[in-house]
Amino acid sequence: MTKPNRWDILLGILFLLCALCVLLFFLPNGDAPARAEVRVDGDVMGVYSLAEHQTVDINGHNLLVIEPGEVYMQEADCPDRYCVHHKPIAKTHETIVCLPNRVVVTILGGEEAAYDGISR
Amino acid sequence: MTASPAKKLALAGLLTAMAMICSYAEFLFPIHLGIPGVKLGLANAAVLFALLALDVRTAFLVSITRLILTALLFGNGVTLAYSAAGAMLSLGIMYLLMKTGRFSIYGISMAGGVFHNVGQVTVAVLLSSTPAIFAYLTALIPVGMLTGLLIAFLTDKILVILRKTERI
Repeated sequence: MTKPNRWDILLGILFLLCALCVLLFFLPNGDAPARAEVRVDGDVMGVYSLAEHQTVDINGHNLLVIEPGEVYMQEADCPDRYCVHHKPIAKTHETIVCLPNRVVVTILGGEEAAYDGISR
Repeated sequence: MTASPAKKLALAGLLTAMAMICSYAEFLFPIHLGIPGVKLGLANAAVLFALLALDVRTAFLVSITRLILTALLFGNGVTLAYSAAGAMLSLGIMYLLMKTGRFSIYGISMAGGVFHNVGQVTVAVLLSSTPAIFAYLTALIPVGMLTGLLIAFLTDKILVILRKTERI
């Protein structure tokens, strides 16, 4: 009977390290935590984690509230206030827009929405 | 070991037949390990045996004949591309490791199992131009190691018995 020698064991450890490297390399793409990206006039103003509670003042015009798992607009100085009435967003690519103030809030890297805009 | 050409040819035919039966058995009764497409790769035991007990040329012949015949009988061109890439890369690596003289049958077969999967995933990436498929290697490298070690255990047992009775 042959027994594995130390070269075999070294090779085994090397393979396992390779598997780990592949895992680490591909992991951030798949399981990144959800973030809320705030754009004003098309420029990114900031990206905020959905993991913790915080409020974001957007240039004194809008007040965005980030709660664990969802984002909504609490206040806005625009006349129509559509963004304030918009339901809280939580899933990837969901968006709140405040057109008068040119503010766009988008969810990035979170859970995919179950339906697209049409079938919802 | 040194075998006469006739004996080598006879053994090569026998090993090819055994490899084909192994492939067919796995085709009929796939073992599901929770990961789609994973097979034990019993046919590699015949190739490993040919590599260690005969020579790399015979191992290559057994492997390529088995590939073509199983593709003709149970597969198609696409499955041939996958299994050929895996089998050739696997045999190449096993031959290189054997040539270093440092690795036992376990190291050689383990590397063979791993690179079989690496070859197949590479073909999948090339055919679908989706590099993200490489992420699958996270699971397939350990699986290749495990199946390689099992094949090594099996082949080692057979080699020990045959050497004891001086059949080869």
